[in-house]
Amino acid sequence: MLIRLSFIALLGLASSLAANSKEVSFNFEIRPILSKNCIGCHGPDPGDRKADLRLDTFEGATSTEFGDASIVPGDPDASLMIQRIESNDPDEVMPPPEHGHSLNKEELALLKQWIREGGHYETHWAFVPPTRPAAPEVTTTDWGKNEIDSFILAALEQNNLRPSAPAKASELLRRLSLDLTGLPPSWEESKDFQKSYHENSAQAVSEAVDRLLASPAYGEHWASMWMDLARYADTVGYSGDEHRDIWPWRDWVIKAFNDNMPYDQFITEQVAGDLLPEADEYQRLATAFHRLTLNNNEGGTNDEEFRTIAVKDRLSTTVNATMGLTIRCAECHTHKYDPITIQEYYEFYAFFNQSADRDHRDDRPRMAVTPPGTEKERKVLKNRITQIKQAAEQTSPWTALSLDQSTATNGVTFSPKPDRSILAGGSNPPNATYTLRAPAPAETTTALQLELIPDLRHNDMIGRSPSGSVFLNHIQLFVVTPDGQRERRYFSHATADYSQPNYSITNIIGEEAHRNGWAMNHPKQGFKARRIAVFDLDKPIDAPRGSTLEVELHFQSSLPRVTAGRIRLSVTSAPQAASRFEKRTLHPLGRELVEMQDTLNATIRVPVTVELPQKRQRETHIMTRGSFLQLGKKVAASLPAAFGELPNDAPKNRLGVAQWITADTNPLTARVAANRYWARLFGIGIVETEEDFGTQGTLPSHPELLDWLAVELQEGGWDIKKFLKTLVTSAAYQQSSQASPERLERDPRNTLLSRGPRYRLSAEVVRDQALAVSGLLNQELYGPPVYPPSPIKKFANAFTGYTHWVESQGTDRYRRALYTYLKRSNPHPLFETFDMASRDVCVMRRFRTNTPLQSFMTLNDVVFVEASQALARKMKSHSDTVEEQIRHGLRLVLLDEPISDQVTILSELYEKSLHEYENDLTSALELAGTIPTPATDENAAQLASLTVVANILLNLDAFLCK
Amino acid sequence: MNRLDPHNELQLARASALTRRHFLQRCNAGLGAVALNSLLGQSASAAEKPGAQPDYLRHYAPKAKQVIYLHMAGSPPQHDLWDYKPELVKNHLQDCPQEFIEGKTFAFIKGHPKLLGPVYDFKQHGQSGAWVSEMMPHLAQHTDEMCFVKSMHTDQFNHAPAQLLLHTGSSQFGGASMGAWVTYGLGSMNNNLPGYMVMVSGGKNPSGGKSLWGSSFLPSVYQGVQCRAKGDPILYVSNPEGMSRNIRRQSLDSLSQLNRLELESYQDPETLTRIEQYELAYRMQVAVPGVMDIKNESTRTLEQYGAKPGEASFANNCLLARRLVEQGVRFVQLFDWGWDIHGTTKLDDMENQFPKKCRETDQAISALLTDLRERGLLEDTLVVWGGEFGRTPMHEARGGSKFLGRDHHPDCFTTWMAGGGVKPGITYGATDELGYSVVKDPVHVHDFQATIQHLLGIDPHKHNFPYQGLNQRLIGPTASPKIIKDLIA
Repeated sequence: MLIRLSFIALLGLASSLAANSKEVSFNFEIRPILSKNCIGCHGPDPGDRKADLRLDTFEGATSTEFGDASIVPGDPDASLMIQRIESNDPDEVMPPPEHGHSLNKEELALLKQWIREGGHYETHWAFVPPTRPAAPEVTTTDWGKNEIDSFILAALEQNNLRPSAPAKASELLRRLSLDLTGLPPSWEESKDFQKSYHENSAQAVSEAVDRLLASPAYGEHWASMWMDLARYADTVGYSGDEHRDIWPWRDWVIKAFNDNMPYDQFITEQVAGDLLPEADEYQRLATAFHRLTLNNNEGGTNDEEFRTIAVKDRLSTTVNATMGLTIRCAECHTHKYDPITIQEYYEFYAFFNQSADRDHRDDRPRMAVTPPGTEKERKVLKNRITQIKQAAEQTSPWTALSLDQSTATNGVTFSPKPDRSILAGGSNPPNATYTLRAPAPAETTTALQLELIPDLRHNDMIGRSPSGSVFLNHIQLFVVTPDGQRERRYFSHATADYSQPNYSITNIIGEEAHRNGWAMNHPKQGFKARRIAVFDLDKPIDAPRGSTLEVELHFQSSLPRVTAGRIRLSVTSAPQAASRFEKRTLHPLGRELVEMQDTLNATIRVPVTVELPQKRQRETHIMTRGSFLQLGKKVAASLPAAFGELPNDAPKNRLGVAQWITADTNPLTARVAANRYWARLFGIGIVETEEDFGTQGTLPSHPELLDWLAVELQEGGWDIKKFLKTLVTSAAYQQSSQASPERLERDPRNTLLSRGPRYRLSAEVVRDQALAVSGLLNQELYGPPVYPPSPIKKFANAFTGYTHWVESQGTDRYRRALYTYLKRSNPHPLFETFDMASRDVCVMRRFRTNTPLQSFMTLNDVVFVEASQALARKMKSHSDTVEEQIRHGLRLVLLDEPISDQVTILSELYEKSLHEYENDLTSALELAGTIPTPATDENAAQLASLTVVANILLNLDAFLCK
Repeated sequence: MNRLDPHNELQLARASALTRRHFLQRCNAGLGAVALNSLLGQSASAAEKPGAQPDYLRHYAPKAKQVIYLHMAGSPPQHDLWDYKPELVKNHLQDCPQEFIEGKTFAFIKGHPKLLGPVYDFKQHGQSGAWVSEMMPHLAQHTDEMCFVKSMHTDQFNHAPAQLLLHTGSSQFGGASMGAWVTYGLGSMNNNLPGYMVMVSGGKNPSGGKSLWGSSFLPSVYQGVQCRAKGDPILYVSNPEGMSRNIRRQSLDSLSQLNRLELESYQDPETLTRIEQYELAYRMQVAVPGVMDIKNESTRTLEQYGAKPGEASFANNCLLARRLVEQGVRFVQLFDWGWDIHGTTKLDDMENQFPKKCRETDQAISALLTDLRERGLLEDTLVVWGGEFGRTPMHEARGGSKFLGRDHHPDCFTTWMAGGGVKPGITYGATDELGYSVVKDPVHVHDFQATIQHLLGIDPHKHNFPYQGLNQRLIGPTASPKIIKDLIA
């Protein structure tokens, strides 16, 4: 205890008290010196080890096999290590001068003392399972609400600091709300809380915490946090960065948090939900966690290469997110610092090497998922379809043709589908002509209908190319009579439910093939929805019995591979079908039916993890230098020796790995989780390097507290909500965040928690909070990603063409940040600017920056301007006097009664703005805007001036920080 | 209005620097004092103790101060531009030697491909006698300033991983980009502009996406700021419609006063930083549109570059690169898409697309070199030109395509540099007589990165950032690439 607390003293005072009278701690004082100066060359990696010397083990350090022992226990002067460090000879001295670092006097003194005391090594602290320590003795007795506080207080006392006073009630509720739900309280909630807090603070806090933990916003907020770790995105990454439907997994995470799924189960289902006995739909959906890896669909890529990269990423992400270990470097060579050899790495990898996915373009295997929350809607839709179908069967003007005799050029083949459509297969040439043949109907034919249908085989898109695009250059119709005469017939008009500008459907009915042709990249649906075209004949066809209709479709674009995947042709005898189709009077029910059926069929198919059957399981080999082409020795699945073995009854697969991760004996899982929750609330982890609990990570600032928390989490049944409540009901958490010169001097970064946490909010919360206080926030849960305004309207990816950011309209603009479409190669600038992690790899913590680009965002971004406009209207409707309007704005934003200086400053700003806007109505109308209601000539100047004020309110430091 | 007393404010400023310095606290020998005070990534400042810069930056004399990196995304064919191979001309459309394909995997080539001679003529130029394709007539006038490296090689033959390797040192996502490393080490030289700026042309983004100019584990202050030809040159730099500059100024004054109240009450050093950042933002609002507006350049200059105000073009970007460098931007990176000359259609072939790309870039780069020289900027500015890998001397002929083109080839490619302390008028390294393999002085991508950092006065082996238990470096945490001393003037 004393030893560790003295370490805290070292940290706190940022000075060195070397050669102290207490026994030196190997883990906390010696290992950092060895790690920094020696282990890189004298560590576990035999490939780079110099002079065959290992200084990371007692055996290595005391070995005399190759000469004098580096360490002679009890005798620093006889220890070669000390002699070499103290040497003046540049060829002798360690570390070598060219390495650019050396030991200082204090470090040397510590090493000597440690050797004098026997040179004992200890297992790295984080690899020893935590036990619950007793709360330390403290001298202050009038402070503290739970055990956490004793640990905090003991460290503060060591540093001659006292805790800060409790935060004001308003500040506390704001902190609790933002921390637990990512949203601020309303002014009314704040007032109520202030009142009850003054009656009974403990009870008020407890009730508020329970209310916040039960709010659905809680799950959304903590799911946001998990997204960085899981490298969640709505696209596949790399050059193509195509869309990927995987958002139901994100909803699974939200629900798991809201249902308070125990953390061990939360991990198990994501790592190996598919392997659980009788896994249900949602347990299998959870394994999409592993399918958030990148897919490389660039032409010429080797699928095996990118499969193995994905598998490595899964291993790395799983181990990093749950156990705070980085093992990626062992994929090429034995880890330089932590105990894992290249062989052990591939043995570990073998557990993850058995999933069926193979970097396929269509991301298979995928699982049809009923999007959470749509069950009711779908039932209604089904009933309606049944009704319409019955009605429609009588009245449909279209008869589908049987296309069995169809052929095509360049090796394309067709297979019939039950709905009389045909599916293209065979080779996939750059260009092709399809000749669709059907017996001519007995009835008069006045028009032809062409449907391009998305198909599973073509990645749910209408075309066969990777992008799903289709370019049709020409359509020709022939009637072949039984005597073999082939007569071309012409179309007078054509229409389609969508044509790209300049690529109209009417291009393709001319005499010759059209250079542009018909293109149909729908701004919202892309190539994922059915496209329908209707062609009126210039003269009706009444073909003799036994005739054949031949329809030629020419796909001759200069862009390769733009042929259609699945086609259906129908005919009608209704007059003017095309123009009636345009006006939707041809057969309104039929059109509606198609749309509804497409909606219903659009179950979301989500990539999931599926284990290969036993006999198809892959062999795993060591990859020399990490290359999938250079396979070395074959290895069998097992855990790295330093991390023990699978639990006795555990299966020898991913599920076994999950059980090992979540076993009570695992030294890291609970510590890493506890530390992560701590860091999100207190701003800095007890281990600051949340991503690295290995020997190179930072040491815990409060080691015993971390162990206490880890055991608390484990023994509490991994109950996250309960654990969070323990954290936020500590006195440490509830302190005022006001600093003082003394506290800044002694505890500059607040690692000792001499005051309450005060940090800039995360990217998501910065946005959501602005929407919340202005009343715009749409709190709808779940669903497909949305497209709030972005200055980047069009993305151009190499090889896959353009994608458009089609802004969501209505309330979808104001959904929580978590639902914003995340394109890996081009995330929404707001999130990037506010330090959201790249979603290419698992990232455990964000670095907080403070930059002028952030200022631009909160001052000028459309969402923040609209929020300012809406807030201005709320302020205006509150009162008739400007001062009270401003007062109210300050209350809504800062949730406290304003001080007079604040009101004065903003009133002056209002007056100056008003003066300008009264003389410039155009600008006033522009700035006052239309959200949520348009300004009028009469109120524009006032609203615009209030918008200026509101814009500043949303940029206050106090608002951007918790 | 209450103000903090000067002593108190100084103390806060120091604390502010300290907390941000802590970003780097784990580099014990590390960059400690560099850069973080200004969040544009400028290097030293009043609040920092002088001399706290690490030795390896302080004692290292830079040959160049700034960089303009011209990346030809997709990878230009070296055999048709710089690496002239008469033997390849002779053996045009003959089967390639068996050993070229034995045990090799190509991105697209299947079966036994034929050799493809350069489609265009070559001539020797300047005193150096460098061979240059007739497709680069303007650049051919600069050969005595250029330093060709014909022996580049890489590990990757797909675009995204190869671009990532080149710009971040790792073929997988998660590395920090060269520009980020450089500005992290050296800071910016301008108070009103970001230290690292990026422009894209050719209609599409490079395959590696924004990670190519990302900061990854380095603080996001150091990520490349992308400038755009249309709309706001930097995102959100313009005030909302209806807000005049005067009102913006007034409102920022109010904001500053309110934040000072907050500072007095909470004494959070970050509040002080935020106050500074809003002021910086205001200065950028003024500076950025100015520097990005090329309308005031002389007609002669515009013509030299082939730049047209208001257009999104590589030529405009070259002119902007000069303007940014002139303003002290540390690292300017241009990506130009469209160099992936496979020959599958006329959109990516040797006879249509290749001449088009040459026309779009030749004159502009030539003008850039001349302009930099005439303004005395070339001495301190390192100009780098290249793709992410090479192309095969063999004809790709994918699916029997009738268009001429070459497949991806990681084993050799040509890049060139100019200005900033490189030897002018030399060629380093060589490939075999058919231009298939490096036969002399190979330069791996990591060597190239080491050399560029060295030229800027950064020790590439020591310039690191501890992350995930490793000392991360641009050249990779464990590689020991060489600095190519022969390239350095």
